[in-house]
Amino acid sequence: MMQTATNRARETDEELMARFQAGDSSAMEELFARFQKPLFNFFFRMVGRRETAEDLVQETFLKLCRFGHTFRGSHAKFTTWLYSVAGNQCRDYLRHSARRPETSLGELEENVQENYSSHPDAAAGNSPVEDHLLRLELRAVLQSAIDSLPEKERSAIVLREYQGLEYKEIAEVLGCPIGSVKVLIFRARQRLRERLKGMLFSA
Amino acid sequence: MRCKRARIMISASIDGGLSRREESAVERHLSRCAACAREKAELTHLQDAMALWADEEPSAWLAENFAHRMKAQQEKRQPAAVRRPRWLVGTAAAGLATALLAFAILVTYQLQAPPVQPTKTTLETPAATQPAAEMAKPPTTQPAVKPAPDASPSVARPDGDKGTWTRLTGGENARPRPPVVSRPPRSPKRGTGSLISRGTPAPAEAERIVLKNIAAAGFANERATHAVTDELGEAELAVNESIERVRGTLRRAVDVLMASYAAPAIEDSETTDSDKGGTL
Repeated sequence: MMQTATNRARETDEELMARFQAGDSSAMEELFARFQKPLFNFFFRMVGRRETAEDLVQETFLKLCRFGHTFRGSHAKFTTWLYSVAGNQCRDYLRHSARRPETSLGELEENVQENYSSHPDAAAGNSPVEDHLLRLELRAVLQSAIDSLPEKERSAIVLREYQGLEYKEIAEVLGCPIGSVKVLIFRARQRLRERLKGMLFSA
Repeated sequence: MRCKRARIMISASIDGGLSRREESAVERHLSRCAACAREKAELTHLQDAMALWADEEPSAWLAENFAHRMKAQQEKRQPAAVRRPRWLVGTAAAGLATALLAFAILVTYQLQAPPVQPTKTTLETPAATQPAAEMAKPPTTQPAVKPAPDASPSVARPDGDKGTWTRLTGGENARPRPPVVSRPPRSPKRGTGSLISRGTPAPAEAERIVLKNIAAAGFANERATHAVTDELGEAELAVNESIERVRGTLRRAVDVLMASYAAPAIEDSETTDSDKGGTL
């Protein structure tokens, strides 16, 4: 039966998976269109490389195609299953590839402070361009800080802060109790706060 | 509540991960502990800073590339037995055409042939022509021990374990011939096979033949359809693989081009210095 664009917009992720399991490949393409951006950003924040993140997105969805018959929509959410597979892909990549060198956070902090304080508009207030530059610097700093976290803490904080998963979902993805998720996120925040102390908080 | 446990719960509270009871307990602790209240403010500030890292867009070709790879993966997983050689396509088509032609001829013949009625002449079998008196005769039997002549038609019997056959035409192993009994003519009501001439099958038989031909034609049609579909699938797979190879080549070319733009130019002074180094 031909599905119109309006009908597909109302379909849930689990319904699309059911359609894919019935043999409709376009359902998987629809799921890809929905989740390619959040999944790409998840991988990008975890591995730090754009091309690698894009490859991992495709590999994750190809794995979903191969093992789509194992998904049970009545027992689990599609997003939980998706990020479980993605987490495994990410873990495998990080274990098999050489760890990328960390950017010196001290150097980055100095750059940010110099750019901000020496700019003539700094006293008057931020200009949009300067805001943009500061955001880019902040992104680089955050990338470096997140990269310094242990793998499980990194996964937990990225899934919570950027993918918006609930604690229960993160527990299913990481395969650990909810209490462990609370501790992982707490420790990740403590480390990040420590690393970004000079930038974010006044002495 | 101690500060160590409270700080873990403070971290969960800014995500809405606490129950009402736990939230109340944290609030009571924060009202009494300035250090933990400061901790909560800093974690909230950190969360706001992390939110400044906005999402980026993936490359525009990602979805299209995935669609091709998914199709290629699905086709690669088809079993090898499904792929048939090209010659089978023609053979299947010829078989289908032949079956359809035979079916058409049979149906036409059945429609044109008049209904066959049993006639008197067919009832007059050689046995039926014997006078009724003969039927009252006692059956003529041969003596049980009288051997049949060698020239007469004989019956062979397997020799048990010997694996050979012995002709029962003579000797002590010869079996007595059964008595010849003239059989009464068959009633016309019993069966129709002997009353209707062999050239035209009975209606029931004809129907069976027609159904069998229909099934054969359908089966041949299905096989032909499968063969054609498989050929199309193979062609599409080959095209997709070619497209993937071209994409890969283009991507590598772009990478090389970008790398050549990024590489710094080599200055002439370096080559001069290296020349001078040899003379020292």
